[in-house]
Amino acid sequence: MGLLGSDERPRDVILGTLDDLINMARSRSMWPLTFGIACCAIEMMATWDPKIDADRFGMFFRNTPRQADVMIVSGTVNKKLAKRLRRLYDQMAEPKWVISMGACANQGGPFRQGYSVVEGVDKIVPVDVYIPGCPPRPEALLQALLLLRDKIADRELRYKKPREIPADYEIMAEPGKDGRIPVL
Amino acid sequence: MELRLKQERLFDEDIYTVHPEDYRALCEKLKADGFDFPRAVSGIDTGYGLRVTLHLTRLHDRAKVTVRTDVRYENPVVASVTDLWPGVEWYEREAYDMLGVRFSGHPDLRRILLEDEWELHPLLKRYDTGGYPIPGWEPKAWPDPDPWTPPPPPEPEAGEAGEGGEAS
Repeated sequence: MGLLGSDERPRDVILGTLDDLINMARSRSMWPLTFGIACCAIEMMATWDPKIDADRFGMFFRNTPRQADVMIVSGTVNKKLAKRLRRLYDQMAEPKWVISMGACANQGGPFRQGYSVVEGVDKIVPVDVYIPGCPPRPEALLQALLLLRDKIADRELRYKKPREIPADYEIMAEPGKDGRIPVL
Repeated sequence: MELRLKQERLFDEDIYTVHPEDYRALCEKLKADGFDFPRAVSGIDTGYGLRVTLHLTRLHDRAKVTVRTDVRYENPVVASVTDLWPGVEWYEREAYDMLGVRFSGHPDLRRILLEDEWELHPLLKRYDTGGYPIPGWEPKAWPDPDPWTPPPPPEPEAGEAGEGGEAS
């Protein structure tokens, strides 16, 4: 992965760009937002319990979006919540990443085509890692967090400004006014 | 005043089906009778109208009562019983939210789950799962007789059974 330094140099000399250093720091201290929505949030809590213990990777929850780096969308996003979720995402400081956890956040899950469900959180915010499962096991969430860690630290996949997803309030509107085609 | 109601009994529970204008009067009577705990208020779309079901319990002897009333789609107004049992306030708001039952006299009849500016009542049968109107949907005919009409009394059997009873 070519992070900092290599084995040929003396061990106390590190050569690299400042971006590499900063991104290494960022990737080793990803602080998720305390934000649980549904049953996936139970598995999210279990990821931080002593068995899996995501704390050992430098991740722990922050209670305000101003201090958080990662948003874990853990559950069904309905239309009333979508506005608040987008607002939380907008309040997070750059750089910021989003993990979509579980079938509901990925594409609506069993509640897809319901009158109040947003069919995939990637319609609201840009998503970095998707986790399949209903709900995913804590190991799956940990793997997603480690994937995100590698993505942040990697020189090729280094953080760039995510594709802009404007706050599309039309898909958060009530049926008939949300621009969806009715399924009959 | 005679209440227009039909009384049935299912297991350990009395079920009253009552005219919507007498719903409030029956609830006051039950409140005076000691029914102090509302278990739930639910709304049902029966296909011909809306039905509000109120489940009551008398805590000291666990007597259970179900009060239900049917209203038409055109005028779904039921008297609120929030002042009798304050706990039903949010149940009635939910029935209003999901089905559009208007509870007259309710202190704060707003939507409770969906957003305030929505006009949709999504659990009505005329909408599909996605909240879109089903084309060609027609309500069923209002039942005849009305749901609160008590069944006619059983006709006295003319025959040897009655006479035999008298003889003994």
